[in-house]
Formats: sequence, C-alpha cells, structure tokens
Amino acid sequence: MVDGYLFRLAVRNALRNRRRSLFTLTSILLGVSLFIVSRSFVDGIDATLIAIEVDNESAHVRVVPRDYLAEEDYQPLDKPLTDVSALAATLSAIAPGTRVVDRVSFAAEVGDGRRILRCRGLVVDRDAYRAVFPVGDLPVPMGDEPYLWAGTGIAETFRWKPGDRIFLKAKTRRGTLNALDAVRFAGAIATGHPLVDNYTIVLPREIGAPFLDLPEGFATEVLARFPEPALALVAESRLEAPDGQTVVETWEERTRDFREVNQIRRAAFNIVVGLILLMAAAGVANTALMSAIERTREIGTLMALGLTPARVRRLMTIESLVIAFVGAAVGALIGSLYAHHFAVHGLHFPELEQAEAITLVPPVLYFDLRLSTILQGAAFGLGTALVAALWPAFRASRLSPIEALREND
Amino acid sequence: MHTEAPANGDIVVRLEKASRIYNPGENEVRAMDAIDLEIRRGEFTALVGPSGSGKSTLLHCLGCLDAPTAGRVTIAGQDVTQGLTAAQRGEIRNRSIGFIFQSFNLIPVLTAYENIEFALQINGTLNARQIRERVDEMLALLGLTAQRDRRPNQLSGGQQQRVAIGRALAKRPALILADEPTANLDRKTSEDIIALMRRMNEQLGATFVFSTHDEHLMNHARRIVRLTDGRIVNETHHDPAPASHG
Repeated sequence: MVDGYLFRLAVRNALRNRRRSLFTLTSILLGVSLFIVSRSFVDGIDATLIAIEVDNESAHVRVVPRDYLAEEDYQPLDKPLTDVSALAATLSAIAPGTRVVDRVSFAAEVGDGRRILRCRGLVVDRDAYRAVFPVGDLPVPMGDEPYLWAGTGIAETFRWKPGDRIFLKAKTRRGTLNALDAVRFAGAIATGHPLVDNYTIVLPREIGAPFLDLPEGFATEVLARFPEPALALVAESRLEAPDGQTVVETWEERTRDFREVNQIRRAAFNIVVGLILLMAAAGVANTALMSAIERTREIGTLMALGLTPARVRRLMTIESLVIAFVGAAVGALIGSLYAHHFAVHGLHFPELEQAEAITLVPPVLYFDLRLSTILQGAAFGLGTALVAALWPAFRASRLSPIEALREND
Repeated sequence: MHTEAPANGDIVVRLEKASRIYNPGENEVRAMDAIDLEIRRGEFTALVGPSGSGKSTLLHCLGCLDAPTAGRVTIAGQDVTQGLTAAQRGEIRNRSIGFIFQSFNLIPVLTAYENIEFALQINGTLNARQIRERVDEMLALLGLTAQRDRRPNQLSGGQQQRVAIGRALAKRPALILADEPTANLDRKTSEDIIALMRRMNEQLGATFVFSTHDEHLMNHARRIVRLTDGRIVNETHHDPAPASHG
C-alpha cells in the first residue's frame, strides 16, 4: 500500500532535476523498447518459420515408416507405409476439421533438353494436397498430356511458362528407369519454403502412379493438419505403434533445429538488452543516490516530522519507480509501435530474396508482437529500477536525523 | 517582574540527571551535563546561552532526535532514554513533537498548504476532511490564507517561518521545539514570529520551548532557562512582554 501523500511528494521530487531524470528515464525507455523489438523479432522468426514449415511441407504431423526415415534423403520407394487408409482414418477421427493427405516422395530429374536438375518429386492427390497446404490453384491443363507443377525456384531456373514441355526422369518402385520427354509444365508453386520452391516438383496421382508403377493406396508419408496445433500430441500418442515401426513427427519436432538456432539469437539479444538495462540500473542508482545526498537536510526534516525510516525508504523507492514507470511505459509504447509496424508490413531482406540456398531466415520476416512480451519488457524495466533504487533508499533511511539536519548548516 | 513557577500542570517532558557526552574519553565533550528539567503543559520557555552551551543538544534530547548517554528522559509519560529503534523514535516525534527550525526547512516542492497538510498526513490521526479543515484553520490563524498555494521560494522568510509554525502546531503535539527560530529573520519579523508563537501558546495552549541568543526576544518567555557548558545555571519565571504583534 502506497501512501498517497508519499506518492505526490515522490512525483514532485522526480521532477526536480528534470535533466537527470530524463537521462535515467531514457535509459529505461531504450532497454524496454529494445527488449520488445528484439523479442518480437526473434518470436517472429520462430512463428514465420513454423508457419512456413507447417503450411508448406510437413503440416502438423507427418507419419512415416521408421526404416524409411533412415534413408529419407534417397527417397526410396521400397519402404512404404502399410495400411494408409487406416492411418488416414485414425488421423481424421482426432478432431472435426482435420485434413489429411498421403504422398509419395521420389528422386527425380527434370530438364529442358539442355540442362538437368535433380530434385524431389511428390505424387499427391491434388484436392487433398490443396486442402492441407495453401499452395494455390494448381491449375490443370487441357488435354490428355501428362503434366506437373514445380516450385517457383525451379520454374525460374528453367524459365518455364505454363504449357512448356519438359523432361522428367525417375526410378520406378521396381528400380527401373522411366522417363517422359513431353510433360507439360502446369504452373509454379510459390510457398516461401525453400525446399518446396527450389527443389520440388509435384505430380498428380493419376500421372505419378503409373509413371512410378505404384499400386493403389501406395504412400511413403501421411500428413495431417488439425484445427489446433496442440492436437499433434494426441496424434502422436495414438499412432506411435508399439513395435516402433511407424514414426509420428510433430511440427514441434520438425522445427526443433531452427528453433534452437533461434534460441541463440534470443540469447544474444538478451545480452544486449541486459547491458542496456544495466546502464539504466546505474542511472537509476546514481539519480537516487544524488537525490538523497542533495536532499540530506530535507530527509532529516522529514524524519524530525515523524517520517519513519521505512517510509523514507518507500519515498525514495517510489521516486525511482516513478521515473522508471514513465520510461517503461513510453518504452513499451515505442517498442510496441515499432514491432507492430513490422508485424503488419514485415521486414524485408532483399539479399535473401535473391539467395538460392536454403536459409534459416525467410526473406520477409513478420514480427510476432505478443502482450506477454510487452508486459515482460515493462516488468524488466520496473524491476531493474526497483533493484537499483534499493540501496540508495536504504542508505537514506539510515541517516541520523541530527546529522541530516546539520547538513549545509 | 519575576513570578512564581507554575504550581501545577501536566509534565510534558522530564529530564533527570540527563547528560550527553560526545567522544567519551580524553577528548570528550559534555554537551549536556546532569540536567534536571521539567516542562509543563502550556509553558512558553526560552533556552538561552552562548554558542556551545548545550541549547541545541538539549532541544534534540527533548525532541527525541537524540538520546542522553546518562540519566533519563521522559516524553509524555514515556521513557525514551535508550533502547528505542529509529522507527519508534520517529513515531514518538510524529505523535508528540513539533519542530520549528532556524532555516524554516519547508519542503520546497510543496505549497504552504501542502507543507502543513503533509505533517498531518504523516501523523495519520485525522481523515481527509478533518485535515482540510485543520490546515485551513491554521492558515487563517497564521494570516497566510492568501499565500496558501505558494511554494516556499515564493514566500518571504517571515512567511516561511509562519508556515513552519503552522506545520509544527497543526497536529496539536504535546511539545513544540524551536531551535533559534528567528536567527535568519530581521528584527521586526523576529518580533512578529515570537509574538505569533506566544499567541498560539495562549490561544491553543501549545507548549513551546525555544532557544535564542537574542536578549530582547527571550523577554517574551514566561520561563527562561540559562545554560552554560551544558549545565543549567539559572532559571527564572516572569511575566513576559505583551504579545502585541501578529
């Protein structure tokens, strides 16, 4: 409980030396705003990368055979899932609105007659694929000719336009080579996911299945997207087979690596923010100490009037907190406005937009501004000021009233 | 003009063989030396003596700002000699003592009204309405109603000391201590201030003890206690000069 009269006096005292208070306030402001901006930036990287992964590559869960997982880089076709329809049914039953797609990954080569690119091929049911991943229309060309879609990076590499005829080669399920030299390019898939955009072609099942000699119900992966991301854990508990032959990867597991890398970024930002708040703490302590020294006689007067040491401590602490509160509030406002701007408009990295390599930072990053971040930032600012003010306040409360009253006599 | 000492009245402060020794040992200073003194309710007492005679030390002990190293001090019936914490001493000052300082010592960021109000808020015995009424009453008694919203730097020295008197008196303490209250004021203003203190003594029954060098001002006191080298060397009671000012 803060006595109102102490609060009023504290506010007026805080305004006495405005330049000094402003300096202290500014350091708190900088620390708090930088905390909010940097935390929103790193959270934005997390959120963006998770969204890109979930929306374009692995949904909320991906179910694969264990022995397939070990050789996934070679995309083998001899280690399929068993009973795909039962898996899909189990996933669909977890929650209304769950969308499921199965797919076949295979190693492919595409080209334009002059150049060849090794890439990943996917065989999917077009409608189911679009239901799980927001990949756009996936236009179907007229006529009976085979067709495929390709990531924008591949399309740009070959400068393909819809309708262009391209070359496709792959090993079938039985290990024999198969090739098509007049596959229509049906359209580009632009997702923002580097693996999909730069290394993936997609064939509709009615074309991919005969091309790879796949039987009915053949799939190497089943993916599901739930109304709530947390349902991935339910799927994991229901589908992990007792014999360990089926592996359920949740979105959290799939994104663990880059989230851990992001933790390093978060730690680095925390160090910078910590240093600024340390400066702020020094400013607060200095302001409080100078204020106590300059007002020694006044503190003696207050004690003579009957203000107890505890109330002197409270008065001095409130003075620091008043300055810190204004600094934290303005810092939270500025930091939030700045972070909000980039949450809406995104922060563009043109050099990454040009890059062909898979990077851990997307070319356009949207900050993730959370209320908890704003509150944490303000709390850090106030907490720093409180800790820094304790010793000067304690020192002031220990003054002897007589000695204090003699000051400047 | 000497009169008899008051025969009755409640004792507000009692000192029994009270001594205050600084730096005990070879270089010790006996600021107060075995002083016996009683201050009764409604008294208007002057402590006089040269510099270093122990006036301020005696006032500090009377005001519970300091404690004697020997002897006993009782304020409003409570033994405050030793063993009290700083907080307990603060509570005694808050409850029973009002201070008037030579340099006024008003809080510079508070107005005249707020300086008086602040003492009552620390005191904590009145509610908000009672505090407003009490401060207004004090400002009227002090003739400072027109200056109520001025800060100390907008007041003259005499006006500042009036506010300080109001601050000390507002909570109706058992004892008001004034350490050289007119030392920073000119002759005319000093007379006004002492006359005001006298008037408050008479109208409100407030008990005043003040220290002064000024022979002219000490004649306003009913009781004069003379100190030399930390000892009471003379004590007189007399009818003071009329409180014609204020």
